[in-house]
Amino acid sequence: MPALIFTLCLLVFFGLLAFMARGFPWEAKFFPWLVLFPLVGMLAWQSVKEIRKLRKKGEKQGTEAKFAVVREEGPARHKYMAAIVWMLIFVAMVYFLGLMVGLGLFTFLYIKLNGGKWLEAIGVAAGITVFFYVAFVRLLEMYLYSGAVAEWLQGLIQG
Amino acid sequence: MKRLWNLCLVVLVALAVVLTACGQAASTSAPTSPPPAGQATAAPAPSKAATAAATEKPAATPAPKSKESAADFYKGKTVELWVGNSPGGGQDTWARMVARPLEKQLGARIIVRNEGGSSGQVALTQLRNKADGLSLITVVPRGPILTQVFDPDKAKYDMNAYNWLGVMSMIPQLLVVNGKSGIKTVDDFSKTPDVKWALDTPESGKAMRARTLALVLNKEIKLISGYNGTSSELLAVMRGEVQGASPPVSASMALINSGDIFPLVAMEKKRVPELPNTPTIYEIKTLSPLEKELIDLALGTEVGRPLATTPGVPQDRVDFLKTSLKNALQDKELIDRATTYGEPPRWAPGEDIQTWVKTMLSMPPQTKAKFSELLGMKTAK
Amino acid sequence: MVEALFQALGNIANLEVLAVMVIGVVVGLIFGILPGIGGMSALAIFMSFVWGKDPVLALTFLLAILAATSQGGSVTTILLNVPGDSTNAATLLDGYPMGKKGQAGRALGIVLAGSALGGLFGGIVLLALLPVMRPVVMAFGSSETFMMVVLGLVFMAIIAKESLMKGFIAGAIGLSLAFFGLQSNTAISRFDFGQLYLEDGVQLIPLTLGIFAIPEVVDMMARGDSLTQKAGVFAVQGKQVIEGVKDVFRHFFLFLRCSVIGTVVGIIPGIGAHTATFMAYGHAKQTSKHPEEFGQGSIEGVLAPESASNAKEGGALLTTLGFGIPGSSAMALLLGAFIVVGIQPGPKMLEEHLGLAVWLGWTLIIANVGSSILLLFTAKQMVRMTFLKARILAPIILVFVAIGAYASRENILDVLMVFIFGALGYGAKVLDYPRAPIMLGFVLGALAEKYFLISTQAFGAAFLLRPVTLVILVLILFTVAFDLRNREIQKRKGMVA
Repeated sequence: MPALIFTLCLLVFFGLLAFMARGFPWEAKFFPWLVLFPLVGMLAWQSVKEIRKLRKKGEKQGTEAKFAVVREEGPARHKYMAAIVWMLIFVAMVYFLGLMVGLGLFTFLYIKLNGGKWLEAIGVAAGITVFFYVAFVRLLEMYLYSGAVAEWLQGLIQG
Repeated sequence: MKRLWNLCLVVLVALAVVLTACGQAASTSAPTSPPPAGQATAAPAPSKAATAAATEKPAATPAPKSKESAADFYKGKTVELWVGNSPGGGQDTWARMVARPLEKQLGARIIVRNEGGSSGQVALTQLRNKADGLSLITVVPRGPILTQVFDPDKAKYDMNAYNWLGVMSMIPQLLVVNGKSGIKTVDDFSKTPDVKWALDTPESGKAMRARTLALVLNKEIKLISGYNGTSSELLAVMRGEVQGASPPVSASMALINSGDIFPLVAMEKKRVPELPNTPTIYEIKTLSPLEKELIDLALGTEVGRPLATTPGVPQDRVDFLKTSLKNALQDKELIDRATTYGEPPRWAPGEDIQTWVKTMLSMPPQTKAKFSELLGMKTAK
Repeated sequence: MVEALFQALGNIANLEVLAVMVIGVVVGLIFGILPGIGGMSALAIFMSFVWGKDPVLALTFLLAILAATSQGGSVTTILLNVPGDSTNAATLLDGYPMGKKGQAGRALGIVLAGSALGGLFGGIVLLALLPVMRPVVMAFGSSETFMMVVLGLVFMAIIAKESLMKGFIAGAIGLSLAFFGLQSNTAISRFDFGQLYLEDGVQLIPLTLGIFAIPEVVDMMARGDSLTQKAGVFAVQGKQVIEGVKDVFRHFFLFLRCSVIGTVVGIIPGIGAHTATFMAYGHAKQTSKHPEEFGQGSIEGVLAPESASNAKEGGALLTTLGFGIPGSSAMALLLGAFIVVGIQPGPKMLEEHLGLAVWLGWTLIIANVGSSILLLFTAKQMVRMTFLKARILAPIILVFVAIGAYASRENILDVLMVFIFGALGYGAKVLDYPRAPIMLGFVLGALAEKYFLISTQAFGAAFLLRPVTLVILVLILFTVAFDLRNREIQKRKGMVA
């Protein structure tokens, strides 16, 4: 089932691209179409294959097959879900709190909430923050993204 | 236990937010008067702003009531100098070269920040509402102004609202041919059949220069677009894959000296000092008034490396920045560096750009149509 | 010429030059290890240090930095799955899997020896070709470049060997991603969905990080154990590094071929450093006796891109010195440095400053070998990183990913893109789509289009008949025939077994 969803998503997306290209002059659409038409074709064929596979499974195991776990071995599914949720938290933190704060805070939270000791969590988080602060902000004088929240507040202060 | 954790989490996040905010606010907490009403609408209604801007220059905000002078204001502050291009290019190099001497003049710390994307349009859009004068920006003005003139709905900024402080350096441009082809004069060139010209994109300055030559000589030139920058174009000329290219002087001098390429025409008002024998585009033929107007506009799109501050900055600060920039360009070390870099500082006043921006935005329709042909705009949109 | 060779080498006896070179190598290694900061940024930053300095000192310093960064970048590639710079992206395909197998030390050994010898090769080619470079560079026009790219695409099809359908899908996805953004031939912005950000197209670093690093981090977080699961592996790491060095000599012919690929691509301006590494990878897989090991931690898969990436600088420097035309973006900066110290590269330079040109060739060689030796001593310590617990290593890698994606363009949207591509990469990983063809397709797609359009505009269909183009075409046909024959042989073997 996940395989089918993945393939269908790709099919829709690249189908959309092929459709978008229709208005381009030929120099701009020749290569994209050269690639996209076969790609869409292959994805469609792949979807058909996935559906057939599902049907076969369905005949064999009844409806349960629909809920079959992608990975038979390895950690349980919920652990993967948790990892993906952590990723989303990471993205949100970086986007809203900026690189310096977001990265340090994420490191701390991740280590602490996954069974690390206080010292370990604070140490690694502080180490990373200081390392990047010294290397990028102080030595390379790079501007590090300060986060949507800070930019919003800055806007408020400025009126 | 679990609840305690959640509490910790919330507190930490809140703490982080406050800390960041304080840090950010501290660097920008200067007393700023709100921008005037006309200015504030510039952002959400770009197309309107563009037409309005063409007729009236938005008045700079009057000086704040406090007695603090502009020089006092900048003392000890942090100024961000935005570069509308990725690190490593000419715009970036110039920003970094001018930063130190400008710091000395302003008494402020300058951080160079790259915000590449759509030839500076991303940076111009992001900065349009920062009115405190603590943000400077350098972009190649060509892309942004052409977008604003020909595709106003797409431009979310107003080039005329920006306060142009001055041009740091002008970049003389050339039209060159293969040095071994035997073409030594414009006449020779006119007689050459099947001329192909190497360039990057059909809407670039390089394409415009080639079309200008074609227009003036009334000769067909086939444009081959897609090359990866000046290096590849010059190699293509040397290989004979194409007959000509339009590089800047700085990138061509070595190959001109070795005889690999020959400078046919300078796309400048006056002859280039390094190449006294190369005629300018104005000299190769008696130009009609329309031709001259078009060439003036075309050369205007290539004003080199200008520096601006954001819209709505109090006038005294703008003036202070202008003088500071002019003085910073006198810095001996900067002159040395820039000269060895191949682009000696050639200052032009900010008013020049402001006037040119206005001319661009108020172009009469017939000129606009002709000019867009020269720019190659008919291929798109 | 021979005399000049040895005269130039005399520079090394100058204590100042030697000191500057050592500092340059150390700086380069550090910049390489910092995520997202490669040779380009390092050069841009240190350019200002060389103003008004002696040309030999200044250029030695900068070139040493450039030579060392790519090796520093390989370290994070293998240990953390985060390429230090785009030139390291191909090393990731097999370097990280080797680390996962507990062979990080060996992989580092291969990188060190491969890079050192690759740099040596590039340097030698540079020195050998300096007098006769003109026809070589002139031979590669747009149509020849197009054919080279097609050759690369043929390699892509070969990489996709095992599951042909999924491989082709992956390759086509990569190619499609290359078509995003402003197309230079027509100045049309394609597939930008109205976003200014997308006008600049898809960026290599966020794509690589998303496709390769993110799925690994998800895996690591879910499993919760350290990268290297085998206990007691640590003791052997020192020996492993030596083993890796020996591996290079075991595959010496492959090393030579990949160095040639690197040098040739380096000579042609406008193809891009990373292309060389991916082409070398494809070539290695095609000619390998064990293509099935590629992507699972193949020794040849690490050796090929590393030797190509370091050999390439020699080729790029050749074009830069001889024409004043930079062969790579890093070389464009170096060209600026030449002008800053008062030397104008070009045909004249070879007459007036031959000694300096030759010395730069030597610098490339010495700095490459030197940085390898330096890393050799520290490799054992660095491998410790792979023994960190997942709960510590996973966030550290994520931090490197974020900074790495951000630092190259200072754009936060690049970081968000990593995670969008991460979804694609994770799906591909779970559902057994090969991920290497995505990268190769992406790298080659835009080039193929660009040079095809230039060639047809300039020559019409006749571009296929140009002599060097024809030679490459024959090479392509030969490659395809060779591959078909291999497939036949393997099929037969399969039937027997």
